[in-house]
Amino acid sequence: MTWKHLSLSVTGKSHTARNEPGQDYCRAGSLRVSDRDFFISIASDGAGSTTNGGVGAEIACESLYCQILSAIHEGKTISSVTNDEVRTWISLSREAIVARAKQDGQRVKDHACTLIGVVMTFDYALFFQIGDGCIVFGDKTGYSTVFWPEQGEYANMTYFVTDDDFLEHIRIDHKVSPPEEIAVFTDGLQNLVLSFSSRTVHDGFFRPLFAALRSEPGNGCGSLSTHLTTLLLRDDVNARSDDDKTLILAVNIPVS
Amino acid sequence: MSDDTLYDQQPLGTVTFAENPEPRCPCLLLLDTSGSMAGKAIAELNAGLRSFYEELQSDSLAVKRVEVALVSFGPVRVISEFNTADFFLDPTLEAEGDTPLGEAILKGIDLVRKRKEEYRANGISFYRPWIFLITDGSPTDEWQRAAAAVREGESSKSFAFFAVGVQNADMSVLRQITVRQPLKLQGLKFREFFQWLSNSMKSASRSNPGDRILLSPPSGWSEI
Repeated sequence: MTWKHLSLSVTGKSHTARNEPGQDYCRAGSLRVSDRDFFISIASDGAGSTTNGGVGAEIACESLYCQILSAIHEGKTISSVTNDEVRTWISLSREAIVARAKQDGQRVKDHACTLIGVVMTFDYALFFQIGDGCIVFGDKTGYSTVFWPEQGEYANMTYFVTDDDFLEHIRIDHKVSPPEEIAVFTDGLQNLVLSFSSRTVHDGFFRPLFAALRSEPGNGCGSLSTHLTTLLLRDDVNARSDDDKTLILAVNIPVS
Repeated sequence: MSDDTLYDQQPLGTVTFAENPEPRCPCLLLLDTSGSMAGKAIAELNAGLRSFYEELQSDSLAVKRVEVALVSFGPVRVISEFNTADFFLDPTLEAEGDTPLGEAILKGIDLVRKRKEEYRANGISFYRPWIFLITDGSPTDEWQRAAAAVREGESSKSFAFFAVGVQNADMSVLRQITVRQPLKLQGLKFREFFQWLSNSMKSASRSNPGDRILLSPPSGWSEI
């Protein structure tokens, strides 16, 4: 089993209106190592209120992706990854952010960012998260969240990798059978695709997207990405959420 | 047109989005309507209040997100529970009675607490509530307990509390009630004050402030 995926980030109107760059970052890949197929997906949302949240987000994603890749190349199986090892990965990513902040003469909290990660192989799935944003999984019969987005008391408050007490807000989950379809997205999308009063997934968003990804010829990076980018930049979407929006979609497919 | 061509043009035509309630920006006004406000002061306050609601109603996002509650004191009355500006009933406040400021603050804090519970129960996200106390006198009731409740609410970030003194207001008592510097209204510039407040609420309702308070400088209505 392998995975076909697409990933994209669009900059929200709250940033483009001020000529600022987006502060979301993501890294996703389907790879084969020693005849084993893996899917890794990491997304991070740099806090909009900070100066360098986007830098923090990039470091967090790249550092975690590389650490997981190294572990896989060293022969690590995903089912053997312990929660302590996940906390160590995240702590090392945080240290990379701290080092960059020091080097630039800035505060660590100026690099505040969330973190969402998925690692899957044919027989196992590992999920972890700090802060808001979400991982949605399922198949065409219905979708669920792995963790509900963790928010603070007030709107747009959440928890960050850069917080002093970040270890208390790391959430980790394991599944012995990986889902057929999975989506990772940052908080700019969550209000548009989750129903907060019932704490459920809005299937009407995900079902057609996964179907389109399955039926798209090639690897998922073709015209569907263009159409989806256009959709997420639409005025009515921006009117409801002017934040950056990152979305990673993956569907499992038999190895050809 | 073949299905493939249709797909190329409208591949995501069936995608729908979730409907969620707008996040709310609660704002409570504690308005002194004691006897000393009679005459021009109460008339200006009423006119200012009316313009405040009109401003909020004319802003498509603020009208959905900003919720205002009104409590008058002298005696303490809940004129309006938390509601969006399109529910404004134009109460026309009248000046009468003494200045039970302590009771009004405690009543107001209780309204804020209950509203937050309702938001949470209904999955509605919200911003940190703002409470504005506007008074022209000095309290005629016990206010120390209210002052302690304000300090407690500020330190737990349950709300942000601002005091505005009008004319002969006892500014030294206001300083003991709020942890923020109380402001003094220039003359009876209620309209300018409410213009400023509606502008602040409009920008707060479309920002991502986290727990920060984003008020513009109080120019045009407050004494330096």
